[in-house]
Amino acid sequence: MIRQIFENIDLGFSFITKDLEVKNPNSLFIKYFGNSGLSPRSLITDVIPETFGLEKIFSEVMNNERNQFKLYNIRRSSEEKGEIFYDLHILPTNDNNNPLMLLTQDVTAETLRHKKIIQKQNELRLTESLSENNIDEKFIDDAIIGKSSHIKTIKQIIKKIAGYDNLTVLITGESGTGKTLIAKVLHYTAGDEEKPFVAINCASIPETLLESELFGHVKGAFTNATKDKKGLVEEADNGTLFLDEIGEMSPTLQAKLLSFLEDRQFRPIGDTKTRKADVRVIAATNKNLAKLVEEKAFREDLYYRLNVVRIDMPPLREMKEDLREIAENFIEIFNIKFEKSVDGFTEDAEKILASHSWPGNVRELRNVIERSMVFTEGDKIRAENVKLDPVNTPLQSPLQNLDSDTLVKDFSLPKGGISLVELEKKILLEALEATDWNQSKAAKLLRISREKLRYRIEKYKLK
Amino acid sequence: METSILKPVEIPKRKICIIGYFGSGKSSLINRLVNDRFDESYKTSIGVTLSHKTVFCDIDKESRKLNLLIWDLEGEGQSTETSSDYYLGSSGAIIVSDLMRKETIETIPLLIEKFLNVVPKGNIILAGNKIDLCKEEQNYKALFKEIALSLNHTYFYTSAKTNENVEECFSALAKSILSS
Repeated sequence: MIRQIFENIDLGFSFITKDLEVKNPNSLFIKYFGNSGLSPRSLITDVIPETFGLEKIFSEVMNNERNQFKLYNIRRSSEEKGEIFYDLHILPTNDNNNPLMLLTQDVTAETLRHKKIIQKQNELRLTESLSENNIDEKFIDDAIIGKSSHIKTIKQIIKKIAGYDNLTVLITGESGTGKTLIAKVLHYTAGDEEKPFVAINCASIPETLLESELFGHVKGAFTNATKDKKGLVEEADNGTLFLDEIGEMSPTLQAKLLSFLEDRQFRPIGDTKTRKADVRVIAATNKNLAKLVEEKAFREDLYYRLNVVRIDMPPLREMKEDLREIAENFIEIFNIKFEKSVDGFTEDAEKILASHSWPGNVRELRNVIERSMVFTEGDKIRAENVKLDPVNTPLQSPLQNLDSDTLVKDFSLPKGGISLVELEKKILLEALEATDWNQSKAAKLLRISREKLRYRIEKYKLK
Repeated sequence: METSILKPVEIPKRKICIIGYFGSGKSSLINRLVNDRFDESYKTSIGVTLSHKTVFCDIDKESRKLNLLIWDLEGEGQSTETSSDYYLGSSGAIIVSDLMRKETIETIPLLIEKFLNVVPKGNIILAGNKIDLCKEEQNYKALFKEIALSLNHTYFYTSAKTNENVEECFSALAKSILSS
């Protein structure tokens, strides 16, 4: 009777005698452990070798010195059955001849789900740790996802230049294509955890401040210079300086940067002495620099100085074959963040992703996956969970196209009310994303000053 | 005619645990010892996987055998702590560290303490794994050695990839178990 009950709830079951012999196993127990050679006088330590060494524990449970004993996630693996995990539970009985019962429960499904999450978590932590210590080709392959010809070319270039830690690199590509990721991979392939990676977005800082940010200043150099300030060039000494949106740099500063690139010497504002910094410069832009050179908006000599090695980041719409792998990588990341175990997409959901033009590139895909994961309850992202951005191109956000007067006029408070804070955060984020986090442009869109925008970014900790 | 019946000598059997931080190469060391195989890719271990291997060691110039029941335990340092119940009934442990990752070495004393709390007379060998990856100034070999010496435990620099000191490490534990 008891055997049938356990079978009905998927539990393997056997009594254990005083001599630790297996007695009256149910069919599930035989199914699990029959291969180990069950005979009428088989010892439990032979049938389940994982119990070898636990004789003292068996005795303690028999003598009521322990209430019970449990071992979790015992793994068996075979070519036919694959990986199987089970929990083992030893309990006392009232039967003097068979003083113990042993229960086994198949926990394969839940353990494999858990394992998948742990695998991803550990991979991320190992990559992080490796990136601090020792970079190899595997790191590059793991960090840059995709198998398209574009991605293969990028990986090849990075592997070729990995040993040259002073080489200047220009990364071009639309917003959201992963230029910063490539800059970091280049930095870490130069490999020393102590070396700094210093990034600055040239478009996010007013021209007047950018020189001081980059090269620093001495006390008294200008009205607000109340103390010496080290520039980012100096902060990046022995490491990497990543200049994002280099196309936005003013001609004056372009000249100073060129001078620095020539001999790695610079002079902080107001200082009379030159300083030296051994810095690798990686620049990135979403502009066509060659065209800017033609238009005399960018210095030709600086362009050639930066363009020693060039990496072109393809837009996501040209890497459709990689879309699924990249999306699945984001699913793994958000599985960890949201503690879910989503495993891919339904066919319909995949069709939606495949037919979208992805103007915001990988960044947009990441946002879409994150949003979709929030709404996903089952193990697959379904079509109705996919929340695409209502943006058609990266530079044509709804905010730019909207007739704001109409929007404000037509707006009415929903019956249930609305969170002003959340609404403000959403508007701020949309403006920042539509302008690729260019604070000046975002402030203009929102018709507020940069200072007010910056205050709100800090207030809401937006990033 | 005299006949002699030679009773087969039974090889003693002991349970040992392989303990260490996730990603330090515990499963790889066992895979190399038991199957003489090595797989570059990282595969996380959950729970416990049992393997068997008979190892040889010399004690007083006599070759001895020990049948090891090797418990490959899930890595430490993950979101949930590894249960010390897995150590019950074992005779010894190999504590594995990754010579490229500081945190896997710094935690050696804690892992030893955790093991000895359950197995007070347990034998311990330390393995500084991935020695094949060590290049000058990019590893924690010196830190590993310093900790091993300060704790007075036998240690090996091992590589599952190149098979360096793998068998030696398990034999040393077998010898230590048979001698105790």
